[in-house]
Amino acid sequence: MRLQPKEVDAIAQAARDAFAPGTAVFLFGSRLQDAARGGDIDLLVETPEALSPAELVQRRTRFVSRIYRALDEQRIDVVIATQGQQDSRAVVAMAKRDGLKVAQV
Amino acid sequence: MSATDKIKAAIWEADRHVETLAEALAEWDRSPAPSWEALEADRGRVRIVDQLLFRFIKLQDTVGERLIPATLSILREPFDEWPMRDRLNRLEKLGYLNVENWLDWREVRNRLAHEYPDQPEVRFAALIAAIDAARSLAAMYQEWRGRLGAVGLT
Repeated sequence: MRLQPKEVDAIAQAARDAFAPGTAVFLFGSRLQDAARGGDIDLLVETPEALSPAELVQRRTRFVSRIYRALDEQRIDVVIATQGQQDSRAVVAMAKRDGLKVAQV
Repeated sequence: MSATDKIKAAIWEADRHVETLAEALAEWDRSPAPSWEALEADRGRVRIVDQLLFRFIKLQDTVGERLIPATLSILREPFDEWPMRDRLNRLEKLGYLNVENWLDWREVRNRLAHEYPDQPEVRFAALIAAIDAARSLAAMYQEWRGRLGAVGLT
């Protein structure tokens, strides 16, 4: 995994600020590959309850902007899914298969 | 360019964006789309939204890349080596902006610049959030401009 401890800490703190207890955050994509360089930080956020569209957008913004605050602006791509619910998006399936948990609220 | 010229240039540019943004916001407010599907079906509304979002992005770029350094420069702050975070924090202390709002708008903007395969309801909620952000950014810019003018810095 190519995230520094301070990056993991920033993600965990931002998740606590933005999401309800029970939420888990997984890293997926190129940052899992030790040999690669740079690249977006791809995160899957699994919430215990489904969020309304407006709430999802608001919490996603808060989550990412808190990370910006701690680390300065970064390329971060966040996908939000609900635990235990079917999700037809290919990116969610991939993130669930490969993802490494980096934070638990 | 002197610090005064830089601030004048930044304000001139931001004024162009905020003026068109205000027009687009007024048009949107006269007849906001109720859903993503309704928006997609109405080319006139799509044009208004495109104009609104384009000017939101441009105004944010002008503030971030030109007005922020020009303001720090005219206030004689030694900001050259400061990362963006420190510049924002300093301007918050000086009363020009709210860092949390600014970073929220950055996230909204970065998300607009990317096309994400969200569900239509989420796309629509993100659009409404972007329109709200555009409105708040325009208000923040007007206050900023007024503050500079009030102390004779424009």
